[in-house]
Amino acid sequence: MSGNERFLSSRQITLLILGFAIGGGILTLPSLAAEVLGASGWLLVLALGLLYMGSAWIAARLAAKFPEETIIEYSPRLLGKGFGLLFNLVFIVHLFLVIPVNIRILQELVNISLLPGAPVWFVSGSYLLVLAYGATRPVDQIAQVNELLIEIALLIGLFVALTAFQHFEPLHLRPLLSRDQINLDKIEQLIGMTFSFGSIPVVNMVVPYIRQPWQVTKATLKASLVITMVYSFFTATTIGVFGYKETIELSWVALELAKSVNAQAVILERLDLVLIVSWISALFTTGLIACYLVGAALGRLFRVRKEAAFIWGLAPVAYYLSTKLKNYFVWSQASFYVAVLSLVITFLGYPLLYLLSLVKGKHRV
Amino acid sequence: MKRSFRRPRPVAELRKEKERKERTPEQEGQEQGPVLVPDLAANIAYLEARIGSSNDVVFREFVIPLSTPVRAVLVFVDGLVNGNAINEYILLALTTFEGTDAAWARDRRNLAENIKDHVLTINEVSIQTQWTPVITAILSGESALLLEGEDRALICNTRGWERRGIEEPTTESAVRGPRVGFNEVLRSNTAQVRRWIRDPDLRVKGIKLGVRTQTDVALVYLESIANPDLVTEVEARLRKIDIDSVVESAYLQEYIEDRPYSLFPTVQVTERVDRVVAALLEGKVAVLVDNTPFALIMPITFWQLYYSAEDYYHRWPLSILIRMIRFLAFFFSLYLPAIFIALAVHNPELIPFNLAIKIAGTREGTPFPVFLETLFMEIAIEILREASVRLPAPFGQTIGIVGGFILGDTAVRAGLISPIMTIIVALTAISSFTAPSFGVAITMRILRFPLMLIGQIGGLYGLSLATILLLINMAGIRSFGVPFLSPVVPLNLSDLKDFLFVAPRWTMIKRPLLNEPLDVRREGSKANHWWEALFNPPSRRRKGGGQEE
Repeated sequence: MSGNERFLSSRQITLLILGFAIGGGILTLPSLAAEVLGASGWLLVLALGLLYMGSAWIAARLAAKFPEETIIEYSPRLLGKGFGLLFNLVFIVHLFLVIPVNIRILQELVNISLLPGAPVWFVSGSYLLVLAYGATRPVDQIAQVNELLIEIALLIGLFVALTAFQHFEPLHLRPLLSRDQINLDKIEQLIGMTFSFGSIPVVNMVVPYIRQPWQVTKATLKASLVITMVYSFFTATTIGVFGYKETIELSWVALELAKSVNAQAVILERLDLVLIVSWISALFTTGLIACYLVGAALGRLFRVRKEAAFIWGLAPVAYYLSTKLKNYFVWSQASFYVAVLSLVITFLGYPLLYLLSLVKGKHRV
Repeated sequence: MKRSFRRPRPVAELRKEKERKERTPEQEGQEQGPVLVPDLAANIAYLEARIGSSNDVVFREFVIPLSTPVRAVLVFVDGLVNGNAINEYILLALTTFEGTDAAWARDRRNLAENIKDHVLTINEVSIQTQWTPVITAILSGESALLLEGEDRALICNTRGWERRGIEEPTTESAVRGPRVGFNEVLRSNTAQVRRWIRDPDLRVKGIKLGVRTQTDVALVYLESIANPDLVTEVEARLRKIDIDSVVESAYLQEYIEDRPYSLFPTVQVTERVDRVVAALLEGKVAVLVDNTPFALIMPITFWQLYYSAEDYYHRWPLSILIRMIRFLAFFFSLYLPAIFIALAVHNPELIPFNLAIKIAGTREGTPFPVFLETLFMEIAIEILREASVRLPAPFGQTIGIVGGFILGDTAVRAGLISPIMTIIVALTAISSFTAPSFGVAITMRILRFPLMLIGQIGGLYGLSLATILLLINMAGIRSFGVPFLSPVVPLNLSDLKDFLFVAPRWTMIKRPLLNEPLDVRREGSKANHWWEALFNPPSRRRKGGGQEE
């Protein structure tokens, strides 16, 4: 990679990590958190976020050690060819599975609000086409689109959350860590929550394009901190508005939060639709970055420059898988598997690779 | 491991390069074209053969009264030259000068130089030995003086033709600001720029483009501010142009743009002198072309296409208001009909109840679906707009009134269209007129139609996707290396002070960083940051109450 191709600023890296993380997961995160820890669900989100920050630090340090390469290139050297290939395949499958889940969440959102009854081929198909087209663009172009879209989505999301504060009841957040409300045996929900946090792979894939690779750790930690704060604040607001019992019952709790806002959106009757329209961009950034990462990872794996061929080639597979996720329960199950893979990569893969890089660092890796 | 591919070079290219290397310098010289000979009759015959069959080409033969008289001929094109300059500073000077017996007058070997140095009183004279530049000079309004026994021609600048005066620009009018626009004469235009910027670093580089038209093109920039890479790039792109003719600057624009297939212009077109001057002071480069008042400015961002020169002539609060209204109008001109269709067709529940009832009431009985109704109205507006532009001004206004008012009113009365549609279409049309750049206004007009169709098919969801697609496209555009959507993405905080908001002038201590100017700081400000300047306005400094910057 020549120095001329380094065009991503550290701010863009932060936003790419944010853009990959914040999307569909946040829509269900408060429900899952409330199921596990009741009124203190937001504390669980905070704890998870801090845990992921530690892992993000490890991943960023690893990326900074190999500023010229992606994880696909150096993992076989650290783990050995066989295990390296296995790790790479798990890494790519994990990224790829984000795409059908992302498409399905969008389909659900559009069908329940904007275009009720619209056929799957139209909504998912058109979305996938735009995703694939966007993902075949150069990484700086993707970073620019993400920069704009995620900021708009976050601003509108923040506006909705702040406006919903009119119904906020501090009592809903109490008692703190009550034994009656803690259900740590709900492993599925606990793991499902991690689906919203799994954005660290971005840093290990785009590091060769960063203008100042030494700033990658700072940028990653900043992104992880923002993600943790946004999720915690949003979960606390939701539980504070609805109470933890009602939060558990609601499937699309973020939309319900928007609906709870009485203020008319100036000339529009319903605020939740405005949130959905803006949230399409948040979902899009997740799908876009996932598509790009899959294409880039496969390109590096097979040492092929035409990454677009992989993206377009896998688009029908992603579409097919998205059609298999027929309802909320099926896709939440799918997001559970994605979260499991994410956990393996985040808490097993990265620390192991980093340790190996430290051990082998004395020799030439 | 990354593979590096080396593209094989075509054989023809290699062969050409080999031939070029093997050529001698003499051969190189010969390739530049035929040269003059020391025989006046032969030179005249050559010129007559090339351009002499035209009635407007004048061959004025006379004798220079040296100790040994020398026959000479002055060749020029009638109508392109200043007759007084020819009579007084060439013919009169050559036939009545004193010192015919001076030492220089007897030196026949350097006759051309001596006449240039001792006799001709015209301001600009050059010596040419080859026919191509001589003929180009004659056809450009200069006069060629051929002498007996000389294989060189003296080219005298006698340009002078009928020209339009300096008038107010018609396409970019402003309430406040200079009423000065460019005209069709390149030299007059460069002079206007120089009159504004009395900086010795102002450079005007001349290039001739167009094989047939040999049009004069001027590359204008401030050497101490403009990034040399930008200047080199613009010049390289201009020099690479291989074109038959350059009738208007648009011919060059298509050749030098980064994305010629894009709907968005990546070069700014203006006929306002002040706009070019402001751009040069920001480190940009301007290209002025002979025979057109429209100059090209580069690089440009999307947002700058919505800036008007006037934004900087009002006090800053007013400028902010004007600019925000303009961006709102941009949104209306692009999205209003599409959003109306999307809401009416797919999401009427989004429209407040009372308004929805009113709209439904007005649409009662209209024979067409909302999409077709909007489409018909938009097409009608476009036809009216085109008709009013093509017709002479008084008729144009009549067409506007007849079309816009009478036709619209009649159509509503006849129940063919709903009143709300008239409001939507009229608001869209008026909004599109607010764009200061004609190029971007057309882009919005083109994009409006597919967006309307998308609104009909996909509603707000479709419009969201279309917007994302548009953003992806725009994020990929660069204007001479500058990202088209900057300073918003990639974010450049320093340049945001002149974006939606126009910061007070005294806070604009730095030139836009997007253009990567050599001299970042504007002269006259000692503050390090804009916020330092913001809290230390000129009034405080004047009173001596503020901190010294």
